[in-house]
Amino acid sequence: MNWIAKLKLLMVLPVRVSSFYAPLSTKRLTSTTHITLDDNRFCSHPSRHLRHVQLSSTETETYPNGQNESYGLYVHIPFCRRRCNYCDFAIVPIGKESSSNTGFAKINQQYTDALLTELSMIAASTSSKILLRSIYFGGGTPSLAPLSTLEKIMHAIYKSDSSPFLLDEDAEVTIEMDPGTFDLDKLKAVKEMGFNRISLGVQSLDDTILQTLGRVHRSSDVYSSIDMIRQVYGEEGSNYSIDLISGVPGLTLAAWTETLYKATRLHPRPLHISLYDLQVEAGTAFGKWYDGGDTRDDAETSPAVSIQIKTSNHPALPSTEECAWQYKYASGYLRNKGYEHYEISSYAYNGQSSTVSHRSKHNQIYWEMSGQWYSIGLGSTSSLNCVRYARPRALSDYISWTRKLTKSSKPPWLLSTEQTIDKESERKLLDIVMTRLRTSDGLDLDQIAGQTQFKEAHVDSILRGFQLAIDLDLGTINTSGDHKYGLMRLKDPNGFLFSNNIISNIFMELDLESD
Amino acid sequence: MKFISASLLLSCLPLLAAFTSNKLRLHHPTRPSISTRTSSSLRSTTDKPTIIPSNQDAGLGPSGYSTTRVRNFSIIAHIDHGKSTLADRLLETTDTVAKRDMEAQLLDSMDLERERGITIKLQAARVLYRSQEDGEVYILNLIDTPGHVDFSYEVSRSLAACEGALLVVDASQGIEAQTLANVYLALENNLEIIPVLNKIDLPAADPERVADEIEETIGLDCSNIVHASAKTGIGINEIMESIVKYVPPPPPATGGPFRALIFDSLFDPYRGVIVFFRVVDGAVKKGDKIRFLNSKAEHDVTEVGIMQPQQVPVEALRAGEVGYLCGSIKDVLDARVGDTITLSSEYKAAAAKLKESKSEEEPIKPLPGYSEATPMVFAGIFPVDADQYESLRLALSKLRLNDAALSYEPETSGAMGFGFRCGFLGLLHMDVVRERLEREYDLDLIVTAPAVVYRVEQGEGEKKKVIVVDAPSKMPDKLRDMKIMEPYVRVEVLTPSEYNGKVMELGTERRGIFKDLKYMTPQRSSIVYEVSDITQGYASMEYQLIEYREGDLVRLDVKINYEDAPPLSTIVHVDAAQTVGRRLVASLKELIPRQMFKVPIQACIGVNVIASASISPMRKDVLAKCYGGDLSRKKKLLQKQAKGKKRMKAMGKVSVPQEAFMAGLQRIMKNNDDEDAASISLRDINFPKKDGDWERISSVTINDITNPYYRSLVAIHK
Repeated sequence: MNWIAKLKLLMVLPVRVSSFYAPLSTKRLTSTTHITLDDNRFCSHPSRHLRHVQLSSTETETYPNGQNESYGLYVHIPFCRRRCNYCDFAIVPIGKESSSNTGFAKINQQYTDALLTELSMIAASTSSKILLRSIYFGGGTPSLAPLSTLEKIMHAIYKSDSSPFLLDEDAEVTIEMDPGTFDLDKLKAVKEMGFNRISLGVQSLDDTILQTLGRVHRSSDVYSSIDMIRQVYGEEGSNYSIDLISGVPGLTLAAWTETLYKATRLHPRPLHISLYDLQVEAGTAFGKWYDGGDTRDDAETSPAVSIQIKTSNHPALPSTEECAWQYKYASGYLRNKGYEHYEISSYAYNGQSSTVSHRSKHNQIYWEMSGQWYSIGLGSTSSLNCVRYARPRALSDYISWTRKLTKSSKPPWLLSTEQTIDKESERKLLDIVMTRLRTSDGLDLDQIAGQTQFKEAHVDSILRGFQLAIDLDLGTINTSGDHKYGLMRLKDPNGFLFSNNIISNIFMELDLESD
Repeated sequence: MKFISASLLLSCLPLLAAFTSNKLRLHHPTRPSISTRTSSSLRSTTDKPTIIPSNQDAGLGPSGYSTTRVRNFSIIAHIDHGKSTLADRLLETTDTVAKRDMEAQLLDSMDLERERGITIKLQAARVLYRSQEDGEVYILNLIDTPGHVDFSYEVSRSLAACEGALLVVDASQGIEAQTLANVYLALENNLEIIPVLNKIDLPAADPERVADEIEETIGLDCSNIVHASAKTGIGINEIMESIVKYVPPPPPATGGPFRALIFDSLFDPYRGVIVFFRVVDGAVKKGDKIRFLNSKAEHDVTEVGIMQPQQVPVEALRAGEVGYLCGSIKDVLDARVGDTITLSSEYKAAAAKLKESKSEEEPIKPLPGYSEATPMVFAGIFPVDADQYESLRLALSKLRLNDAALSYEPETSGAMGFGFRCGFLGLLHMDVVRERLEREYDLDLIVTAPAVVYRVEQGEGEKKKVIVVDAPSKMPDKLRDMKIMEPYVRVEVLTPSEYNGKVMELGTERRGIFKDLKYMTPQRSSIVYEVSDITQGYASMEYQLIEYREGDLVRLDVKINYEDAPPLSTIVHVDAAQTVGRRLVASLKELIPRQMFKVPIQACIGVNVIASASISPMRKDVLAKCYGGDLSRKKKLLQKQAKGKKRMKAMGKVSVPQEAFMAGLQRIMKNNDDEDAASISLRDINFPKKDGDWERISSVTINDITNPYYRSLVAIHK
């Protein structure tokens, strides 16, 4: 847009002179009067979809990329027995014996009330039920919450007449559970409530490593937990995921291969593995032990010998060389064992019966171009109607925030101000690039070019930022058929391993473009 | 007792002022009468000059204005010896500046000056002082000089505007090389020098020893040396009395044409260039048309005034006085420091007269000492963000308004994009300009390693071609009949004899040509070398070189990931190439962040790689954690990374941070770390009496970037 056109726009909208974000400026005329951008699939108003919900779920509109216009719901349960050494999540440590702890009973009561308040606010904001394709209870340790609490929340989500949500037929309902925090009865009750997927916080199958991580459980707890899952859900019905962490202090290359070997031989088989490369965050116990941050990349370590200066009794951090090796080994090994590496840190089993995908439905909502999700609970973030809303991360702040919510006004996570609409397109593009490049499906450039709020110049910037990745054979662009731009993908594992660098190159180009 | 009476008298000054100004009005009720008198007295050169009264004479008491009661002086001091504090104290004591307006270090008006504790631009201040000796009111004009040798031309011009100077020496430290250079400049200008020992209240003060040192080194009579403490106010009155007593008054008007010496100028966005000058002869007033002899520019005077130190308009400025004028002058180049101001009418009259007599003489003789600013150090300035090119161009043109010594021309570089090649007087000058650009104009800049100017001669006789090379990357590839010439300076090192060996070692290492070794006393010796060490642009802030001589020089190129990086090229002597190359690649290895691939860095002469290093690749750069739908933290990290990359320059596939372009500078610093010549202490330096052989003296100081050895250097040029 040349300056004359800008000037004209200025004259039409004298109030909105604060900033010019070129791709949006054509949009502004409509957005000032009406928030619904009908040709804008990324930013659609929920009310438009609520009508769809009245139809049967089979008639729900399906978009070319296979996404249903339905939502995810994240429920945060912050309770943990203790804070792990690597953890900087929003959690509330409650000590070992929670059942006999009166202090916990009070916190639990307050927190449950807060969640129910949020749910009732959602209910008040809509006249009809909202279709969910996934519910995810994350934490914290949701399995530490008393059954009564879980029951109340589940009830309020979709089981009562006044609850705001409706569950899709094949909805995924996940709960994170830590080994050693539940027994057979509790698990049965959990199944009864409707949870059909369990995310088991294994982290490691090596007791020394578990101790280093500051976990409460040991490997024997893992095995007994999985046995309980088998007993409750049955051989075929067991749908569970395990978390594993690589790059842990003291984790040798051999021990890592051993961990993966054991993990793939668990019975029944984990249908999903989340594999995290340890990040030493400031403010965690590891952060203190290893000097406030991950400095491993500064060291001039050669692969063969890494000199560690031992200053304490804590085991040494592996070198970046070793971390990269662990990541690459896992990628190759798990593929060999029938797991699909569908996102930087996620593997889904598609071994014998390749017709069924075991990718996490919930996480995929986060990575979708137009994914929208509700969330309730401490420190959680919802993304709805062009508003990304993060709740307070401290418990007392969160509780008082929920107490201030009033049913008469629109909930803050649905409030789209002009400012958020303005920023949305820019922010959204960065989100799309960042999340889509994390997946093996990749970033569909034609889809971006086809969107009205993005220009072809944006695609050009993305291509420029990606050029180095192509030169270094870390990424590919597939152009087949009638694709103009093609599908942009990072290669597994080397491209994934440098994803930050490549994505930030694209960010830089987009930034230069918007300047 | 003495002190009390002085302050009583001072407090009476306003009253006196009111009285005298009334009296003046009575005698000269209308202005026209004043101006007629002025012009008539100036037109006729045979008339005995009359003193024109002006409104600034209020407060001078019944005696009125006379050059005999004017004292023009400056203060010579080493950095930190308390010059600016002393100046503040003088202004405060004479009530020139009200206490409430008193800002520490009033004379240093730029932020940068105050922050760095250095004085870059000259300012002046006029104070009235009633002498306790004869009870008369004296006009004391303090002309502040810049403290750094980069500005030695400006120093010499402001000294030329004075008749005397206070030599301020820290009583606990003793005289320093830099001070000495300025003392010689002052002696050259026939200034009366009054030694002052400052910081006398410090426990470490050793006035006897320091006084001896001054006597020994400069040959100043220290019998009447003033002991003072600018901080506590000790000795301030004595200083004032000494100025009145010892500094000679300016010569009275001869009746000749108006002539004034410019010692500073500055650009004011509203009034144009403000010219600071000292009237040598005649008088100037508002409405006159003036002519600058060297620039030949003519302007109408819209305002004349004095500095107290804020500008106060007056009616006229007469012989011996110091003040400013403005006249909608748009270009500082019209009013260069050192130029002579004349009256256009007088100039034309004189020129017409000369035409009649067919004389080749100048119509009005310019005041001596004018010289053009010659940039000695060149560096490329590029915006980090190519969009800022226009802003940079604008900023440079604005800075140049205030700084006639800065020169610049557009430059384009494949790697760096559009920018400017700038010439500076020296490194400090460069630093100041860079910082002002970044601070006052909010620009992100990349400044390439500074270099001096080389001359490349090709061919013989008729076909001889001379190329002036002001950037290493412009140095042509060497051909057989090509001679590369580099500038030489003559350096005299004064050192305690025990360090002779080390100094000579250093001189040899720097390709110095040994000229002379003299023992001035058994403990002190002087070693003379001719060196081309200013090849790096750090050693000398010379204005006039000895000569250009042929040198066995090569262009050392840097390749990053097999691609040329022209901004990193340097010119070095062939013998030093290996060492320089190794240091350069080593420091680049430190400065360039790891990439996703291995990056070789090579230093080459032509196609030959003489040193190399490689940056090992990073092993991973991935964030594996995802917080329940919260992408913002991850995104923040990536955006931060992207922002960092934006500040870097892409050389091929490699992102090179700004600091790397100054790697040449780093190399020098490392170089100096290796040498223990640094153990020569500053206080042990002794200096010879002025030798008739040498005309100009200036010290070589680079104390801000290199080792203390350099602080003890005094360069003496023919």
